[in-house]
Amino acid sequence: MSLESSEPNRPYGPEPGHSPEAAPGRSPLDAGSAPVPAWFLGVLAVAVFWTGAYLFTYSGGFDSSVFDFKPKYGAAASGPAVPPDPKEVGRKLFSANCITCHQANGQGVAGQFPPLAGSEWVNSDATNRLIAIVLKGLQGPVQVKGQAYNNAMQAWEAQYTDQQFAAILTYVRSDWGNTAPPIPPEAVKQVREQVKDRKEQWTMAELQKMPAQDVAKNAAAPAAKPAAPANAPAAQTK
Amino acid sequence: MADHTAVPLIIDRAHRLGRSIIAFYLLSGAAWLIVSSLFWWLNTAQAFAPNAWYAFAGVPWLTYGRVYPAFTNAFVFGWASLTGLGVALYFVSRLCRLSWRAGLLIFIAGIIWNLSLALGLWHVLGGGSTGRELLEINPSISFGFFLAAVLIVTWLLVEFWAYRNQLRVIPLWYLVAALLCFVWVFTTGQAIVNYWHTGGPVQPAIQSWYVNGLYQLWLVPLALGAAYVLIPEGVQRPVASLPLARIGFWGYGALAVWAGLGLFLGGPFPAWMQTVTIVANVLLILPVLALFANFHRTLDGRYDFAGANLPLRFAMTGFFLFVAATFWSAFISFRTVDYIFHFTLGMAARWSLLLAGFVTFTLMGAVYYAVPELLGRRWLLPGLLRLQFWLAAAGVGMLALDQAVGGLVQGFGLADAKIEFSAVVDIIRPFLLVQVIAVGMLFFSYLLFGFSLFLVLCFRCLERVRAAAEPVAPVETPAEVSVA
Amino acid sequence: MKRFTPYFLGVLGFFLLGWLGMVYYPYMAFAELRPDRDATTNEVIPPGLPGTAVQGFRVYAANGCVDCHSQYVRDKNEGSDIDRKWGARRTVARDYMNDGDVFLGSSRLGPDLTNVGARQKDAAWYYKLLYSPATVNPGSGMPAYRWLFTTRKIAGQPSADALQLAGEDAPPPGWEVVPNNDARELVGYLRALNRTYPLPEVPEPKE
Repeated sequence: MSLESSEPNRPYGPEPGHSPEAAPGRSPLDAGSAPVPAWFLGVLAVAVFWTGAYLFTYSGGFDSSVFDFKPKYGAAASGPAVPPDPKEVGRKLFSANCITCHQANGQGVAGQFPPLAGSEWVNSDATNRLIAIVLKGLQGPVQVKGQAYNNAMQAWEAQYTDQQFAAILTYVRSDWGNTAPPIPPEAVKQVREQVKDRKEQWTMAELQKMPAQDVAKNAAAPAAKPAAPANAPAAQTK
Repeated sequence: MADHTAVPLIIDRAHRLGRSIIAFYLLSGAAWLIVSSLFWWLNTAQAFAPNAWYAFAGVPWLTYGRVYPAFTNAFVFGWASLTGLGVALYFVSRLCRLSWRAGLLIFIAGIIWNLSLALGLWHVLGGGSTGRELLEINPSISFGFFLAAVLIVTWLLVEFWAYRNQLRVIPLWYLVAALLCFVWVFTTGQAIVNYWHTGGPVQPAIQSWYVNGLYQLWLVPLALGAAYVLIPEGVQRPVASLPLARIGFWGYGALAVWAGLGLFLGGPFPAWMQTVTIVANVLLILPVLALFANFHRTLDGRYDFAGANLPLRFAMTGFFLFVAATFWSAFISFRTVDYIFHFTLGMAARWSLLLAGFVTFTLMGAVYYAVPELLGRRWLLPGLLRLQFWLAAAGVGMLALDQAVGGLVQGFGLADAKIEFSAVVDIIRPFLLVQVIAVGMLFFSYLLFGFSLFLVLCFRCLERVRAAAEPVAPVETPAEVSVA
Repeated sequence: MKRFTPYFLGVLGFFLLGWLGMVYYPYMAFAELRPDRDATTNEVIPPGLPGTAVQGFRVYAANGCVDCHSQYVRDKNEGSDIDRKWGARRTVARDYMNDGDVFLGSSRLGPDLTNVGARQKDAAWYYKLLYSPATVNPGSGMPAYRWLFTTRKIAGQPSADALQLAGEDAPPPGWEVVPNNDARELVGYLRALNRTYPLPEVPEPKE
């Protein structure tokens, strides 16, 4: 079966005069004209219906910031964010500066820096005093847990915002065995207002003379609080 | 034994250069099939027993993570693409009035393609993989594919426009569309992901689109075009319905381009993109049903023709696998099902049915159809060819079933968080073993395929050598009449 | 369908539609992703990977880790990833916006690695896993990657990062196994894989 061509440059194609168009149906490759079967049209109709329903139910409004096809987190699937756990935030902020003196385990350094774990200053209801300490600093002799310390803590009010202070103090009051209630940013704001004219660090005597005010409880804005930090930490994977 | 050669489509005058070039594509494709399936077999063995001696655990260039891209790239860019190109060139040039004046260009394109693939795979095995599926070959090397494809497509477009060729018959719709789409899909994927190295979430989005484009807009149309030749030719009846064929073609083209993100369902992409992909995957059933109805009517009950006609047998089996692949794809796209099947062996089942199944079977059928005419010789050892078919069919069937069931088991294991991950790994080991066996069968089937081709080639060469060596018949003169 | 031009335009049109929807639009939309700055902690969310980790991309890619490990966490209604503690929340587009190479992966022959740096912080664990996965995870499907390490004679004192190996993995007495640069880069990358920071668009699912 030799198929050598004697005219190497002739293209493929039918013999002259034998055009396939001239004789339709001659080749198996020509297509017949049977109509589209009715069942197919039925399936097509169902498919169109299903497509519309599925496409518009599960596309999150064709919004590219919506990832969840079954929005379950509330209004407009890219809904209000759950603020990060303030305790975690507070721990991060604490780790930036505070641990230098008070240490990561809140134990401080014996004779030098007072502990925060179990400290009566940290856990007391007189939260205005605690906030005042971190805002303006503390100097001179101070008694913490029956031990005497005599050092200087700088004023931190310029370094952090109210939210950041609130987070740090909430963390400090809830870790290492402390179980005091959290401190909201409004409380910090309130105390910051109260002490804004003060230029120097506090001394222990001045703090003890300060009227005890649980600004945390008073300023606590209702409900919409970064909810029960009790739940969130469990869900947080490390 | 029935004649395995095809009835010529149109009486044509073969052009020697064209025949040789097409034969070169088909033969190099077959060689890559054997290479890629060897990598595949090794890969399945490594998945089953990663630290056994036959898994070559200590050899860096044969580690699982490098053999796997070597296998997929060799399969897609070697076997499927090269054979697909050869088949496309063969059918297109036979069905249209194409000239082979620029044949040398096509030949050079083939050489570039083969070289790029070989170099690229060597680089990947050596540790230069980019880590992104089907984009693993270094972009400087895979540029060769782009170059070769541009050469071929330019030639094709010039031929069509300059010579006012027409798309008279259905196979041409698919073959030409495949060639056009390839350039665009390939360029988009390589440019955005590899050349510009765009980072962030857009990278996997484009990468999955690119992979899907290569499968559904390049390889599948090539195979469908071949099926549209082999099936009507096999039963010597025209395709039953032109309207159905149109629905099948345009429906498929409209939907397939959206179906890529199924690879990363549940991933960091907006809900609408994932939903669109799911819808596209499911709706693809429709054009495939149209194709199926069309072929069924065309065959008109003559399924038994496949007994005698090998190309028809391959094409029909391939098409059934295509229908299965489409249904499976649609099934695992639904989010409830995807919950179970994602990340499991079940996703590989789609690959097995579509590529190792449909595309491979149909292209093999086309090779069985084309080679006798190209090389001027019928197939030897028909029994071998039948054995090859059954091995391949059994292998793909076993593989797909194993991956589907294995995927189910693995999926249920993963879905239950109380089951330790290591326990899930244990559960699927038997399925990984069956994979090894199935792919081994496929490897031997492909070896037989390559061997048959090799035999035909050898005999063809022998014939030519013999013809060249024959003494020239002496000129007859009245005085010297020689008795031949 | 006889004439070429309408056919060509038809194919082009359908393809272009899909290209615009699934390539062009996402490309543009993702290019507009911006990080946030957390008001309280002043951090950039999402944080990028440290420089040493970026080199790890190359090793991760070259050895095909993405072929067995995935790197995204699915939502509770799409997968059991959160129940498996592979993440506290699903991952979204912004989690990957700073990554030059994104290895989402589509196969879990090995566990998900999105937050592996949060689960395992010890570099020595990673080195041991890469050198001898079977001793760290018995029955694991992971091959050993010993070419990422060098076995050399102990010069004076054993190196600080020499692997603690036992049994048949242990080198002969007087020799030690230390990680190569490739291993260091890869482990640096793996240890930095940590997407546990919260993002406003993805609240963490309650039970």
